[in-house]
Amino acid sequence: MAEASSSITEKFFLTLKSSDGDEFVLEESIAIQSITIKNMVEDGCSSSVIPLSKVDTETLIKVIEYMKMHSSTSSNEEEIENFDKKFVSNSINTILNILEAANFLDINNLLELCAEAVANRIKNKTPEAVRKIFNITSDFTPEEEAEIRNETPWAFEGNLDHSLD
Amino acid sequence: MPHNFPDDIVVDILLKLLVKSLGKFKLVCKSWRSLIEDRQFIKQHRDGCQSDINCHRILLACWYRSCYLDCYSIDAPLRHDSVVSPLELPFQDIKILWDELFTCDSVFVNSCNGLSLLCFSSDIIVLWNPTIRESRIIPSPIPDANWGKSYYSLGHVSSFQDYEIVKSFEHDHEIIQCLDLKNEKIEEILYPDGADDIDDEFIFNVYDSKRRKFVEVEVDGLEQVKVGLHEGYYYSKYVTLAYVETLISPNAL
Repeated sequence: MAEASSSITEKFFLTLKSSDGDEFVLEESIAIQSITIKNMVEDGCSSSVIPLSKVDTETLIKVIEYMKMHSSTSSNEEEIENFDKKFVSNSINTILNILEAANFLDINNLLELCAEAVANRIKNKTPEAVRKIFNITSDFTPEEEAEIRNETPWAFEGNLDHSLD
Repeated sequence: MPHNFPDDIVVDILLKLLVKSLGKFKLVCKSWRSLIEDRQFIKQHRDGCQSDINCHRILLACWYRSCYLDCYSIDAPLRHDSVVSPLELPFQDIKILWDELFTCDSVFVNSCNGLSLLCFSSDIIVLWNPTIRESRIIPSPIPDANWGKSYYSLGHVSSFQDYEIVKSFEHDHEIIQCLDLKNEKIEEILYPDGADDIDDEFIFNVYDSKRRKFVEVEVDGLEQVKVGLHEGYYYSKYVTLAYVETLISPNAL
């Protein structure tokens, strides 16, 4: 009975607009995996286009791909697992963009997936490589840097990875 | 695309890293350093480590003919390809402690939230976090209440970084002493009435640090747990201790 009634239920669609101006139409039930979008829908601000000024087109395509795969109705566990594995093999820059979007859109499991992926990618890297990846300029003096290295020499033992991806 | 990540995203990433990587990334910039050294972060990270098997280690101390002592950290759970790394004991330069390591069997007592408790018969206690290689020596923290051997244990009380060392005595079953490590205050706690009258060999009176009271614990089919390492060809004696990798400093409790 439940199935029959849900199939008659009218499907609602939302339009998401990326920072580049591209529009994407998405089923509401899929889009509300984003708590940010869910709140907008509940507050009645979703009648027209939802502008996502912090998410560019490339990133939004990935996020929508993820939400479609993880929406409750379709896809089995194994499919999702394989999808996630492939998803995190994107370049680290792409994952960081998705992570930012997941934070803004408040999609907790996507945020967790990306944070884990970034941690795995950077764990063996040098602090210098991490600065470049995160576009950070060091604000330590050479003396301060030497002091930190002296405090925790064990953290710098072993082979360190200098690559940027 | 240049990133300017808000702190909460950076924290989400840092929480997924092991202590060694975090030590290294203090060097990234001042803001990362203060995020990693933040007490709330250290607590959150500890909670994550408790439930993550990748953060669990086994400390193995091996004696060789009473003249050498080697200490190792082994990735848990034990497998034939578990990574083994040498550990340097924190008090190499304190001769009295070093000597005693070879005469006393029960130096390595227990571990709690990444802090290991090492006790010497001279009533000197060492709190040691082998992961961040920091230690704190607590000389004779609890005055002797009685003759005979005494036993120590490290417990986590309730709030974060609130630990106590519990001392009990071989010949005095009426009282235990608790040393609060934050205030260095000693509190005496009485055994519950009739604690000695329990006949059932599978029921024990156990002191619960969190609730600050004794509880009766029933152990079903008590079995001595043995680690799957046999007396080695090279080593004459060994001791193991399970611990978790955390950022908690024994000097900042």
